[in-house]
Amino acid sequence: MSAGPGLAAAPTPRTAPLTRPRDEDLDLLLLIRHFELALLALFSQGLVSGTTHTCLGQEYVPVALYPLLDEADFVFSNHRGHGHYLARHRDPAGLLAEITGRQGAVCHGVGGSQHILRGRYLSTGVQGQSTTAAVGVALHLARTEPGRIAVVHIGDGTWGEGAVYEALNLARLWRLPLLVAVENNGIAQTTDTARQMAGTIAARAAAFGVPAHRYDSRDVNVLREELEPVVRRCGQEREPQVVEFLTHRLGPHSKGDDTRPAEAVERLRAGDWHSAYRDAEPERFTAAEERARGRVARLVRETLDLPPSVWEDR
Amino acid sequence: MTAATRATRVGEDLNRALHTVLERDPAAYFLGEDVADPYGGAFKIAAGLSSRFPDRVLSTPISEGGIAGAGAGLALMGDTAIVEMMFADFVTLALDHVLNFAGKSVAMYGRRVPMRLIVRCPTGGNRGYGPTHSQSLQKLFLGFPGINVFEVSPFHPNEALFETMLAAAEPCVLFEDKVLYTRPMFADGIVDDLLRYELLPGTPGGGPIARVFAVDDAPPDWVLLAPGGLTDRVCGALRSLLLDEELSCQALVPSRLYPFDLDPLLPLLAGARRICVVEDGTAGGSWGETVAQAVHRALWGALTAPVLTVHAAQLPIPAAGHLEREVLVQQTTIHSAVLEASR
Amino acid sequence: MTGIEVPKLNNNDDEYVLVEWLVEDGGQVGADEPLVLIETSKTLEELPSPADGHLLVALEPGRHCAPGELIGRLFATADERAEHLARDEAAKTAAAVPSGAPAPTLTNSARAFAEEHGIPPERIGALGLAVVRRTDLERLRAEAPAADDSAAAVESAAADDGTLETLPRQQQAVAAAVTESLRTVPTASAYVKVDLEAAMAACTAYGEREETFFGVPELLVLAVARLRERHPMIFASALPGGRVRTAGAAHVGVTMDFGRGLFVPVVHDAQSRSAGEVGELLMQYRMQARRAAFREQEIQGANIVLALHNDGGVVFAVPIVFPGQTCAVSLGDVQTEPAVDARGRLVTRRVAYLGAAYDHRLVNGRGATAFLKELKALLESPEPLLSDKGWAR
Repeated sequence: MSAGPGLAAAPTPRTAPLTRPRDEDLDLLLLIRHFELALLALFSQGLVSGTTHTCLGQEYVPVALYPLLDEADFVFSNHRGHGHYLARHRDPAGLLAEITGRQGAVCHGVGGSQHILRGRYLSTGVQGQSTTAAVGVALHLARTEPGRIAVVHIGDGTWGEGAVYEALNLARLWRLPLLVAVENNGIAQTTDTARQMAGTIAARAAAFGVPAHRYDSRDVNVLREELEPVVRRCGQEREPQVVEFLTHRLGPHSKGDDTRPAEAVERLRAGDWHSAYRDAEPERFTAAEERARGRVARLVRETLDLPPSVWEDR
Repeated sequence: MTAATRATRVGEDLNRALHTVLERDPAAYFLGEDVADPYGGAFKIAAGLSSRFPDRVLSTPISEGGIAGAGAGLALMGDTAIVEMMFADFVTLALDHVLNFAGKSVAMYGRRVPMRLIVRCPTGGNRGYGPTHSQSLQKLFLGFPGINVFEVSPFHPNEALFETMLAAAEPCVLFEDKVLYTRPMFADGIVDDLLRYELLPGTPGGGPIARVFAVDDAPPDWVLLAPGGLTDRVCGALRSLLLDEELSCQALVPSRLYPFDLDPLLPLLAGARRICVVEDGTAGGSWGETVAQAVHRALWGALTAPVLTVHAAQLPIPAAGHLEREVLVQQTTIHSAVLEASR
Repeated sequence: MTGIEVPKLNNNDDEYVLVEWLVEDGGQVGADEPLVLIETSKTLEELPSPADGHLLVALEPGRHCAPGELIGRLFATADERAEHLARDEAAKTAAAVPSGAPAPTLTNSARAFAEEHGIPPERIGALGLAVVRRTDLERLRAEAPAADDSAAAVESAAADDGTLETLPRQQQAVAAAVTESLRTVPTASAYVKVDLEAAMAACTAYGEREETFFGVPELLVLAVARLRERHPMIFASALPGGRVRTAGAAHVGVTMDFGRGLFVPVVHDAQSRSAGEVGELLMQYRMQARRAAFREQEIQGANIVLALHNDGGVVFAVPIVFPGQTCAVSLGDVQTEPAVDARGRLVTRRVAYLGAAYDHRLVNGRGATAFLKELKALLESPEPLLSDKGWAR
């Protein structure tokens, strides 16, 4: 259900029952969840260096959205992009190798999870940077592949960057098929939305004449159904759209940097799709989860055994 | 040259080259502020483009970052994107999109990704435009992997220049001195009654390097390296140093400033008694200093003195003409510096 | 479009000076209207426009130009002119260097050295250097000191207590002519003494009668002209290979110098002119000589020259045969000497020395002497010269 334009309040945990997900959706949700959890474990075990930004709690967004996309649509992801990558390319091996700098890494270990290019999927590491690049891609698509769209994932914090406004302005002016997917999890690194954003996301979009839609559901089926006309309109009418998902980040920003009080995070966990789907169909869910957990564990073992990645084509 | 042809001005030659690029490549785009006809851009370099190619020549809002990023997005999709900054000074607003996204995308995904993005920057002073419209910011782009810095000169035909840049398939920042726009292109090896030039082959990626010399082509006392924007002032200094001081000087004007191809020039530089690098920007992390350091490394044993560097003064560029001339490099600045160092 | 080319105005100058355009650049002019003033080494010529049109100047006043050189253009319309100007502009910029051997560029130091030591452009050009430095000229002087030494010695000596000047163009032309004469004409000379009593009386009478000035020089012109038929070699021109061009008429040049330069205007076809014509012409020439205002055609074409030294008590003078001519006749000043008349009384008479310098390749002493004797005879019985009957030829 999409809420009408209103104030950007801190989203409240929802406990309403979710409709039954398709097998592939549930499997993908669980793959992403366990991939992220395994990653955090590897970091805390000191087996991976660098940084990572897990999307725990937000996995349903790409799972709901991507079946609506064509192969030829372009997805711009961000630093919190593992879910986006896995949903787009179903390639946990390549992703884990990339993050751990092992052979088979989707980008030979050079970009890491924040800077991945594969087919029509690209993640960027600087807030707002992707929005303008997405404008360029959308322009190309509008001219050469009518009907195709460019999706750009941003967060609530991204709206601090001027590039976002330049991009929206250009997209509306030039009538571009740009879909801005905002995962509004109420927090930008350690800063609550209320302390970094004046006004609302919806009002920002409206300022440029760009239709904005807000969703607070975690139900993959419901979201997909509501997103479908928006995605279609974006591509066919060449009309940029802002789709805002009210969601929660259940993990830290990267690792060890969650400044929220534990109870607050616990409260958010109550609205997690994981428990909702598990409670709705415990047997089915548990079997799927075991499969996912096992798959990820195997992948981790195999990947860590791989030799280091080689960067040749410089 | 027949009587029917008139010496083409640099700005006209640039305009023609842009027409050619858009003509030959149906996937080439041109983005810039106020570039639509009849205005054709602040310096008229885009004249005629929007009329001929209305779908691909976009006059944009004042969004340097936005249009640089959009250009990068087009390049990512395999198109060619030429993005005009109205003044080089404003390229600072586009740095994230050019340096962090476009430049790095060439290699940061673990394999080479072609990115045909050209960011054009009208640069330089001596027109009284003041501190934020007169700078030479080549230094901002030195040393970034995947980023190439080129500069327009009256020796290098612009059609070939664009071919070189596009062949690189990497983001190129092209500096175009504003005063140079109205100066004539040189042809047939002639600068004037005293000075001639030839194009040394250089490297394929860097394009040819112009060598300017007096008609007698005497062994040089000094070799001056300078970007194309300083051509008039450097040639004037070559002339005055010869006629007034009997110093034989030659000049080298490269097309690509960075990466800088020193190797093809080493024999000539090794034969010079002294070497000088002249640039319009200030000292500090500058192109001139980069070249000087490269020369020191390559020719340490052969040099009799350090490479002389001539820069603008470390001050904001004044608007008033008489003050501007004190801050920016003039012909006399070069003449005096070389003469002083010759004593 | 009509080109305005410099005609060949004389035989002695390689180049002229464009003094002044008489029509404004861009202005309109009609065919044959005065267009431009060109100065030769001796004269100031006014050239007429070759056609109607709008003028496009190609050479600025003060610049040198050569015969045949294009100094401007005439266009039928102002638009054509403007179009041409636009096209021409860049062609000139581009073709900054003339093809062939361009004039070398001198550094300022070299230029100063060249001026200081009077090194002429030809010697600098002969170095074959595109750029000439002071050291190049120092070396040049060191290598060829003999030629320069005397001149240099004179120069440096003069520099101590005098000034360095340049001869006027007119005098430079004279210098060139006499140098050429010395170089190419092997001369000998002979002199006779002429009793001028009859001549001077006749001139005075004629002058009173005709109310004009008439003097011995005028008489001499008539006399000399009359002798051409009988003394053709005196008026001939030596050619290489022992050949000679004889003259069909007597064109008598007369030296005149009133402080504005030495001029030798010519009485063309002197043999066909009456005394009155000759008198009038010489009077006009004297006025022009005072103004240094001759046209080329007035000073060209002489085949004999009268070098007048008939003042200041000059006894006689050895004249210089002009290059291309064979004989020059000199007239010394009138002297009064005592004499004995037919009846043995002591009287005074006025005499003058008449001399002839002659090219000994064509004329021997006998021929020269014969010429002088006849000239003397004519002067001593001048009545036929002053007859107003026109000469037959």
